[in-house]
Amino acid sequence: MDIQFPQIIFQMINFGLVLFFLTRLVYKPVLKLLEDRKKKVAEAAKAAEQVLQEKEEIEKLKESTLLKANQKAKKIEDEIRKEAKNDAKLLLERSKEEISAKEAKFSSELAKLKKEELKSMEAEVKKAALVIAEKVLGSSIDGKKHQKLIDDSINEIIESL
Amino acid sequence: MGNQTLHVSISAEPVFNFFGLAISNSIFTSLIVSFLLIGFALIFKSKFKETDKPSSFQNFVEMIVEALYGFVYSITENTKKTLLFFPLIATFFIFIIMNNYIGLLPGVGSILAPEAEKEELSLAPKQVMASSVKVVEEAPVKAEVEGAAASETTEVAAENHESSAESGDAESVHAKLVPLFRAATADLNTTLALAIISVVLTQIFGISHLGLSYFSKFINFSSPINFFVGILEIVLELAKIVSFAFRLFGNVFAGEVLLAVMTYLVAILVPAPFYALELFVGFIQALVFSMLSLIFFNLATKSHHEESAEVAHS
Repeated sequence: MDIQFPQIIFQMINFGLVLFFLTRLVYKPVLKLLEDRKKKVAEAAKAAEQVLQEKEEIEKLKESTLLKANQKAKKIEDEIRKEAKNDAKLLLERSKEEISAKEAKFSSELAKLKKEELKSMEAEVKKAALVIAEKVLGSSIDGKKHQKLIDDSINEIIESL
Repeated sequence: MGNQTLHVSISAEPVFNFFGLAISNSIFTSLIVSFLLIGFALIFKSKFKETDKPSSFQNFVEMIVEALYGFVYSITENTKKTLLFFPLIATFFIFIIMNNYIGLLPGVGSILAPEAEKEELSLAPKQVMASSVKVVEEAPVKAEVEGAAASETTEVAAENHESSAESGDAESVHAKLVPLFRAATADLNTTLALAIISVVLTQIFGISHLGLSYFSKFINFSSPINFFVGILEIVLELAKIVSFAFRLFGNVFAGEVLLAVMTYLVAILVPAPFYALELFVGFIQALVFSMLSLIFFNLATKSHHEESAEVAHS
């Protein structure tokens, strides 16, 4: 083992040269590049975070808008339902009124018809009664008798009805 | 294995002279690693693009830098300190791991070159006490193994032993063949250099962050106990150099010895698990050196009050 100071100094200079060249040509450019890349990544991460935040805000806005729209739609639906109910009620009332009016009209027409029918029946019955009486009696009857018979028969019929 | 001997050398050998300077094999290998790293950095810079879709090569480098940056930040938990310590720690890690792994490549240790002549001013040991742990295939060679303290020479290759009285020419030719490459971290001088850089920078960071109050850790007359604790702190700083240097050198050198011995004993398949182990050890040693340096840097920049608060918190 022989320690040689010139060798030691030579190796120190040798190491110093390697250090100088590696620092100048490799470490500095690579570290600068890595630092720039780190900054870029940080900026991109920040931008991504901002985009996410914006997305969240948009989501919130969307939800609130949707909620409002739903509420409005429900309100409109309720109003429409209410109106429809009212309309239905109104229509029902009107229909009832119409029906009752038609019923009344129909009843009066029926009564009138009944009266007319009764009158025509009365005439028919009178006629028939006269024919029957003439056949039974074998002779014609005068007007007074005839009228009395008719009246009696009618009264009987009416009573029976 | 008639002509093969196991060659163990604890120190690096000179392989050639450069303008009168003897360059050792570990310095030569470390220069290759440095050129590779600098070349890699130049290629990276030429292909580097500031884009969000990097090429696979750029992506790979970014991944390593980011992982090392994260590692430094996990200790300091402070961006300013991380930016200050990161280049040093990353370079420690890359430089050490590359030097550790280059020692595992085929050819490192087995390619031989004639030993250079020693110069007055040399970047290689003045006297090669023992050859590197290598299997040297050549004519009878004298393998000299030297202990850390002793300088006595032990001859290992008994069969191929040549007497010292053999012709001077033949001996000098054989003795001058040394490995051309040797992992720089398997040389104590490299690990010492790295350890000194780490410990000196620790002091510089401490002074730059805490000012003169940093020295109160070493020189404190508030009580006799604090005074002796200060002396212990000074010893501790010096011990750090020894600890750093010998830990790294010991692990890497021992690994190389282990691999050489295993390869020498059974050349096929058996060394494979040891190579895997050395890959792991190379990584762990680089990580340990870097992490300890980082922890010492970080501790040096914290005041006593901050340290106490952290201990109480933990």
